[in-house]
Amino acid sequence: MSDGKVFRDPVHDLIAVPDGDQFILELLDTPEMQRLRRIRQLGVSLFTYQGAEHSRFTHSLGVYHCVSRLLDALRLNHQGETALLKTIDEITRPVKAAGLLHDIGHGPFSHALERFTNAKHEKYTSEIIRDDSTEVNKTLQRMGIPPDAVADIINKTYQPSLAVDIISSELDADRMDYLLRDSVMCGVNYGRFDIEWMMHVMHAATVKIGDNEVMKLTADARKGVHAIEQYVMARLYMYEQVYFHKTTRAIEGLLINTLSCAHELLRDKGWTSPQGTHPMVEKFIRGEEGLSLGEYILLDDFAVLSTLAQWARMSPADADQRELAELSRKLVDRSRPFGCIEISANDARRQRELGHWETEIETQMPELNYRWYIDDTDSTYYKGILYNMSEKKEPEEEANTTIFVLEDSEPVRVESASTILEKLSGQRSRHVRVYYDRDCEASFKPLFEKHGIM
Amino acid sequence: MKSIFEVASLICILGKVDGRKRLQKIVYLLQQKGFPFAEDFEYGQFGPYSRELSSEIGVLVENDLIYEETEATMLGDRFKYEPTAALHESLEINSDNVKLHAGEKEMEIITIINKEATNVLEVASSMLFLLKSGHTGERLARKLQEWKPNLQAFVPEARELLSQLGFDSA
Repeated sequence: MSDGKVFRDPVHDLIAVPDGDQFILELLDTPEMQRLRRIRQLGVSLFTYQGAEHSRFTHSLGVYHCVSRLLDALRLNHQGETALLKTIDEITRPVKAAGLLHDIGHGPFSHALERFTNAKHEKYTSEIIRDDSTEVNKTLQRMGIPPDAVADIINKTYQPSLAVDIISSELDADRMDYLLRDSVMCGVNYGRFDIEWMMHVMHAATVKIGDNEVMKLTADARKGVHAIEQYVMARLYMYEQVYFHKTTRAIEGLLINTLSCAHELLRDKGWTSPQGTHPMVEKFIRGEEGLSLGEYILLDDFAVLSTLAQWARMSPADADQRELAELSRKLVDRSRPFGCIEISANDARRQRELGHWETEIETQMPELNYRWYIDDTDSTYYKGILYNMSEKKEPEEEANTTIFVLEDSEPVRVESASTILEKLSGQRSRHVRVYYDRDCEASFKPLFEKHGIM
Repeated sequence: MKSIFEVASLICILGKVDGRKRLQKIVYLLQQKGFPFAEDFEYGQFGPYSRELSSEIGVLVENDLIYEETEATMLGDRFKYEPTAALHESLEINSDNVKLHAGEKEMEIITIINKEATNVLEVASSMLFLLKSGHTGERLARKLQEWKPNLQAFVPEARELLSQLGFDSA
């Protein structure tokens, strides 16, 4: 028997796993969960924010903690509501497990690497939980928690939907932890918000949206609207300051180009990779056949970075291989990140010209294919970080992208309870940037000037 | 903007789209049939939903490439779309970048989907999403009952649609 355990944590101080949550301790000890120690939460952000070394393991434990606190807050704020308390009791174990396991399928630098395979990390998350060969699945079964229920919560197909909302919604435990953790670890104070007060004002409520009645996480508007405002603004600041930092995005562009170059060499040019290339990294980048689950969980940041470090040391005669060695060296040594030209999201003319520039550069200078990169924030994973404050929503968008608060026990959109958020309604934040290797600036400049981009 | 040209091109083919939800379900079903739409879909209260697609529609409206009309209904606002002349022009200029090619076979699939009511598309796309995430047989039926109690009447038509599209919905 265990007496539970307490973890020291830079964000939440102490994360207590009580005796009754023994399943969490056993899940933490599985190799699939331990792998997350070797995957950084923010990918290449550590090249910009030197403190961003934290892993998906610490984030996952933080989400478990936030889930536990949310459940406790709901119990406290709904005392005497027997039916709701019964629901909360029923979902407690699977939703806590889902909080811990929600990122279990993440690969190394996942958003960059997912380009080379059709498989998304969500697919691997589901497989790791459902496949009876994994230690995670065996542990869940042994502890009497249905793996399907945990996977359904993460895939958002579980009912009651309150369980889904706790893990993945506009007010979820995942965002609560990653905003605070990323801001603490990056040393960016803008991302902080008053989590103590947020927890204090959380409620569950049935909201009528279109022809559906949906049980959602909400907050008491009178007590909590300022905490929600701070939380929404924290998301905006973290998006601008950290997730879409122009240097971070430049390095991610370089990583994508380096892997694309390796992909072309491996798949189309019959390249034999040098000793020291991690076999699973090679198979993943080659992208011709999917990795089995057993192979996939051998992948981590270390495998990718050690492979790139190996490639950086190559000195081949072949020009294509020299290009890969040079790109790898630039990445590993963080040598002169790509230069950046920002194109205003409202500047339709320059955006159109950028399209023409792209076509010309591809056809006229194919040798520079891996020395430039166009980044559009609307095409990337982090877009969900921003709260959708559009005034114009259909019921489906209301259900999926709106924060509801309770005014006199009636659920309303948070914008109608907050002057600040109402003023921001309809604002969209989008960055379109063209990155280029500054070592090749002389080659790029004439075409930039021709299209009025520079 | 993963496949904004393809979304724009689809709107041109459809001519009129009666509601964002309808467009979400059409794009999801076409994506599952192998059409070149790269948006990520998550399961939501009304079935598969893509934030990216929603954002792409916004960009097309902001740039006057599609015309948006708002209709207030008993169940909330609905947004209807039609292509503008500028969209046809833009697609012509960018024809090299459009991966959606509407050949005879593709048009047949689009027509099969587009003739169905939005409720049928919602149930069919939800069913397909659930099937692809491992729900079959009894489990699928139970999930549909949990998620779509008010749309159970459309389940047979949704199954028929999936069957016409070549998906096994048993």
